[in-house]
Amino acid sequence: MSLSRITASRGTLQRLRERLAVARRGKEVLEMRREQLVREVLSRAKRIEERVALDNRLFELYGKAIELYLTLGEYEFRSFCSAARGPRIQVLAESIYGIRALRVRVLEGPDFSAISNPRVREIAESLYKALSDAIALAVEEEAIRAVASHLEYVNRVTNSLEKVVIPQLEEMIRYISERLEEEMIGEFTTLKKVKRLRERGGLSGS
Amino acid sequence: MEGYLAVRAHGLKLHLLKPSDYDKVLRSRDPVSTLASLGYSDVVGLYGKSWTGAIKAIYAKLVRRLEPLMATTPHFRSFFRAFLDRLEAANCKARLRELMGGRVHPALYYPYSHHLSLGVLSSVSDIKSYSKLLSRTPYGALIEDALEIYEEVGRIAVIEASIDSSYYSYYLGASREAGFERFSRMEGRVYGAYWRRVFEELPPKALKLLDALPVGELATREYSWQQAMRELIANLRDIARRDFVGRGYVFAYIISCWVEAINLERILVAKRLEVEDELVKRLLLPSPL
Repeated sequence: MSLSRITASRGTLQRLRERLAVARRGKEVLEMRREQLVREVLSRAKRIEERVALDNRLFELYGKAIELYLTLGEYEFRSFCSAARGPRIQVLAESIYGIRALRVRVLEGPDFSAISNPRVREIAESLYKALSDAIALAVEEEAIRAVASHLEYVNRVTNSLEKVVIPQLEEMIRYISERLEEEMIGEFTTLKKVKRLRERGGLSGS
Repeated sequence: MEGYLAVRAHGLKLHLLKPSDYDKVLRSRDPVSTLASLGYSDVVGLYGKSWTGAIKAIYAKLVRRLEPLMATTPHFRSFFRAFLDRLEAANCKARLRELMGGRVHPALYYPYSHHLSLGVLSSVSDIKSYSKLLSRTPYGALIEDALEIYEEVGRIAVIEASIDSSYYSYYLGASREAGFERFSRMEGRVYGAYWRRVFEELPPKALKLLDALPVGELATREYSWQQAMRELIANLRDIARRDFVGRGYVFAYIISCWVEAINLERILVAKRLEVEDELVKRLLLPSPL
């Protein structure tokens, strides 16, 4: 808001001071929220450090599975796979400090016991374990993404309060205070002049 | 008759793919069309150019490769038929796994039937009717015993073992009559190698189902199917060289047909999965001839 358009009155000054108090309080609250979200991101980030190891594990298992697939051929491999029972998985919404994230719940694990070939069963079990870890990690990454996105927003609002809104309000308050002070001095000087004239008798009372 | 059969096998051998042909399919951008151009056009035309169609075509070709031998020598027909019946035994196991499993991935059946039609096999909906159906075939000789053990241990491996064991006994019987028993016994080690690994997981009671297979002969569980197959091929190579116009050469020929089908299946799967050529080449089996 341009300073020239502001009505320099005590009422405006009062309202601006109230707005400044709200803005400062808001900034404090948002800073606390920011710290909370940063702590959340950092604590979750520790868990995704295992990503590289998991990627390597998945890559290695994939190689083994491919080799086994080629050795057994399409018929046998598909035949063994048809004996497996897949897992039942539910995807749920979760709230992290009010931020919407996803959570994966395994209602029922897979059953590989009907696979008679020990190598296929071993690979299937190891792959399921690695994929479960990968899903858990993906959920963590998604949660971090959601929290980080909210953190970015909170940071933007806090910065805008700190760098724009609060300095503007302070500037307006300073401007109006100065104007009011000048007006007060002007009034005081006028009153003094009037008093002096009355004392000299040059000004008769109305 | 044996000599005629061997001479016929010599002629038929010329139609088999060479290692350079495998390379052609492996390097091709359209492996199914390349396969068709290498003498598989009749079966590719029959099953279509899809991946599963092409894999079915490979096994249909295996059956066709053995048909001239069956037609020229009725004396040996039951042996060649019994050799091919391994595909039907595999179909029976595939249906069993499908029945017992979660049916997430439907099974793929070899395009072959002899004792059981594929339609009847795939329409069976429970284990009771399955065992009833199987008991009418050579693969169901031990099914009743296997089901009893299955009730106790809950592992379908015992039923699969009974199918393999019954098939092997039946195949051995047919080989004996045709004079191929010595070679079929060598091949038994390939079955044995697989069941040797499963051997330790099965309860002692189930082991009687594997009596027909040479499981006990194999000392270590680390002796894989692939190793057993390579050993069989190496032995057959020697036998084919020595028994140039005898049964040894004929047996080496039918194993060569089987090896060709296995290799082509591996190549097509690898092409579909975009696997490196080096890995595929390492897994390809050499031909006994």
